[in-house]
Amino acid sequence: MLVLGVASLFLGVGAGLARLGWNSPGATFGAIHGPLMVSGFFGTVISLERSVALGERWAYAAPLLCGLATVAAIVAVPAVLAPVLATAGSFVMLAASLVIYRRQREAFTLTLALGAASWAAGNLLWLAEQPIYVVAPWWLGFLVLTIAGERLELSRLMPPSPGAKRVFAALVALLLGGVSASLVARAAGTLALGVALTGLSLWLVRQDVARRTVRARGLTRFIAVCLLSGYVWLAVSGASMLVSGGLGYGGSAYDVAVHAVMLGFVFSMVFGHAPIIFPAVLRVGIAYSPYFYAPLVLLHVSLLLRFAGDWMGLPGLRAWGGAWNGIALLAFVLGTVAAVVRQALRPALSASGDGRKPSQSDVRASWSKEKR
Amino acid sequence: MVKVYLAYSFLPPSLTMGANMDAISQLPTEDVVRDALRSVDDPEVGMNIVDLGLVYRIDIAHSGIRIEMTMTTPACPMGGLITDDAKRAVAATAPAGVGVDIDLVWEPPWTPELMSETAKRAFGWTTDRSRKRAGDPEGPDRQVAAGPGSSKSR
Repeated sequence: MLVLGVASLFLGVGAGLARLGWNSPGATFGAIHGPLMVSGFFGTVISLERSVALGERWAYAAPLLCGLATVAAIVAVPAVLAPVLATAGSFVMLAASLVIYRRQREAFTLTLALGAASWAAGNLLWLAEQPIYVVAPWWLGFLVLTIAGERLELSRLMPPSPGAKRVFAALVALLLGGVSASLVARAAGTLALGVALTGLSLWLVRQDVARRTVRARGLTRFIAVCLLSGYVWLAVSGASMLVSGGLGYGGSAYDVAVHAVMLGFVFSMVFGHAPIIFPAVLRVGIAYSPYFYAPLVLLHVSLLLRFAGDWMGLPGLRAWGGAWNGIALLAFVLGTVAAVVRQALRPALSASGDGRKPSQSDVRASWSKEKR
Repeated sequence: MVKVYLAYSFLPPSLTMGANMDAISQLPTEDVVRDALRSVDDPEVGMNIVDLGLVYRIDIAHSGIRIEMTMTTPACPMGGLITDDAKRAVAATAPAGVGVDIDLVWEPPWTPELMSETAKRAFGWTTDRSRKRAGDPEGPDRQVAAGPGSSKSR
């Protein structure tokens, strides 16, 4: 399933590069760049994570269906098959998310379920042959709510603030309200979405445990840096929507708004969490290394170039920025594989030791410094 | 052969222990096990599972060492990985032939109040607030030692 997910990633990125004007292998799939990335790649990976968390075998149908949707999108079958499979997969994940909510009725499990619902709704619209720009707000909602929900869970480690919880709930309501309204009143609905995204980015910067963990060392600090830099891009997306009167139908402002979330926000999270999700889902260890910062830096710099090209109306600069976005993603995939190989080749240390042990003691040392 | 065995049994224990390739022949104490569990971190937050208040119960017996622990949420996919790490850490303290079992439980549900003072300070809780919540001058460290039964006081 992960293989299919990664295949979707490569195809999706290839398709995206083609849309920017490059002569890339994925050129024929240009029109389904969005679906490949959201339902093909993110959908497979996120629903796989959710199935592992739930621990029920039926839930694994979700990533399987999404992987098959990618296959359906590229082989010569009726075009309707891919959206059908993706929609089915998203409904399975919605069911899994609702079971998790029933097990633990908290704001964050509800947020995760609402994210899954937003994804399913977007897939239904895609199935109904709506243009991708109509589907986009729903898919943005899916990704943002999924990540915000998980961060809300971790924010419990910080002292509780009832006011903060109410603000979060209001922002989620505004996000979903805006996304729903965008079907009938696009400008107003997506302006509300822009406000919600900006608000959520500020909330996360304020409330996320990353504010604390960024003072740790090693892997823990790396994860926090990924998170905090991702929140900046979320704010950029929200601001872009506010400045351009909502999410348009295409063009430069649309490119900024969508990719600030999808690349800047979501992929920063992916870079940060791969070193812990990989071992959890695949039972394969990953040794942290400061090299991990390289793809992250590449991603941010290339996004700056791309959005500068969008802002200044320079398609060449946008295209080069996009190309380097792809290179950053490739660097991330190769770096992750290298880390897995390095860990596998490492001779067994003490019984409880693994690649993470040095950073654990670093972390404890840095936390104890905090006490003083 | 019998004479060799008798001579062997009269030797002081410090010498015979070296002869058993495995240096651990006694069951670890609860403190030793808990210290071993302190080496297991949740990598996302850089805090060990004991200070996070995830370890509910430690039962040590010759038939096996059993740990009851939880995660901060059932929605976390890392349960298997962290319990594997915990098992490895505790197994290193156990003598040969004594099995280690880690049970992942969801009752009582974890709350941040179960964190230790160290963890709370690290995450910005003030001591007064945490004491008021726990209703216990020593704070949640006591609850961790006592296991889930102490939740009745809440």
